[in-house]
Amino acid sequence: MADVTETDYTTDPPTVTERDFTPEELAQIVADRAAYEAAAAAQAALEADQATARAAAIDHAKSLGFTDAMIAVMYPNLVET
Amino acid sequence: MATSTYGTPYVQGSDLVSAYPTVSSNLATRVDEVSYRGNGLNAQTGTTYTLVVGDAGKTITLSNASPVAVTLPQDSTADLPDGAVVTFYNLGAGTVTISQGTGATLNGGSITLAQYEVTSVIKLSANTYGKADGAGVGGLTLCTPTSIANAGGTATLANGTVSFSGALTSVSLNGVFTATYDNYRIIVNTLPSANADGTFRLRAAGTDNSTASSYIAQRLTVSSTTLAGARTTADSWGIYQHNTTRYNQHTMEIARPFVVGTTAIQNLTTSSDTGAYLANYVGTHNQSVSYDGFTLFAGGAANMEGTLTVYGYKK
Repeated sequence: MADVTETDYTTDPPTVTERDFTPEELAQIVADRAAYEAAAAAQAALEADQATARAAAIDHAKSLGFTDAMIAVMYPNLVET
Repeated sequence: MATSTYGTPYVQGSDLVSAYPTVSSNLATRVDEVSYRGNGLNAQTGTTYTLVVGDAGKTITLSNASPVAVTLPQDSTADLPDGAVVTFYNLGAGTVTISQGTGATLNGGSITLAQYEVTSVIKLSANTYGKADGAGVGGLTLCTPTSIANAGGTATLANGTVSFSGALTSVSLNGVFTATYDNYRIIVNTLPSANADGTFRLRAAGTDNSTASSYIAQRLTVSSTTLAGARTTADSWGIYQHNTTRYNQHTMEIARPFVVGTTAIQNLTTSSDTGAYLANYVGTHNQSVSYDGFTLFAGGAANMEGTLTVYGYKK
């Protein structure tokens, strides 16, 4: 099965042709996929770092004597609901 | 037998009606047309057409896959009566352009009609025509691509809208930006199989522009009460997607893509699932290239369905 289906609507009926990716298109697809995977990994790492920092902040607040209810009121963005 | 100002034959007092049955019948038919059935159709299938006197009051359908040029003639060629309205309806894929002929004037300049668009022209005075419905003085016009290409999945064009589905990696529209319009609106609906952003690249003669750092965006995303901003420079324009059960709706504004020079881009995305999400990306593509199309990429989703419709802002 070909990689790309092209349909020309200037003819009646439309002309359909199929072809494989050009080397340039294939290289771009590989680059896009790598960039997407790198961005997804970076986003996952960022979210993990944020979760760790959030947990540390909550632990610190508790060490000072704050309860979960007090933390939720004072820092509503710290506690996920 | 005599004829009216515009050449319609009629019987006079000295004529025997019984001697002119065809003329009498034609007159009765014409009265029926005007009174009960409208003024009739003039179906044209060529690539050029010049109005004739008999078109006054009629609807002219134009149907050709190639561009069609309609000429409004000067009075010495065809003297339509003042006040006559002629309606044009484009049935074909080829763009119809209605223009003044030599010695004639169409106030406001030429009119273009995409497929299934309609407009009317009024004969105002000697050699002078006007636009009856504001055609060409503003608003959005559907722009139909000359061809589409899809990698994976399926993509079809119907009534100016491209629909795509399945294991689609990308879908490209060619020949959709032209010199006819400067600015465009693209309505994009996407439903990816995974919560993953898509991307967009401008395209010239079948090749996407993926120049590094050429798509510069200022991004604002809002989820509940959390606002996030970012400046991105990339080889593509981001398409925010945060919904896999209902359509993400994107309104993209593309400024002067066909004109050689930088291209301003804005896309506003609404995405609602169990919550609601908003994304507004504004910025530019900094390459001095004339683009006639674009490609939408599914990004990280294995499957994506949706629609693409392009409109041009009338100059």
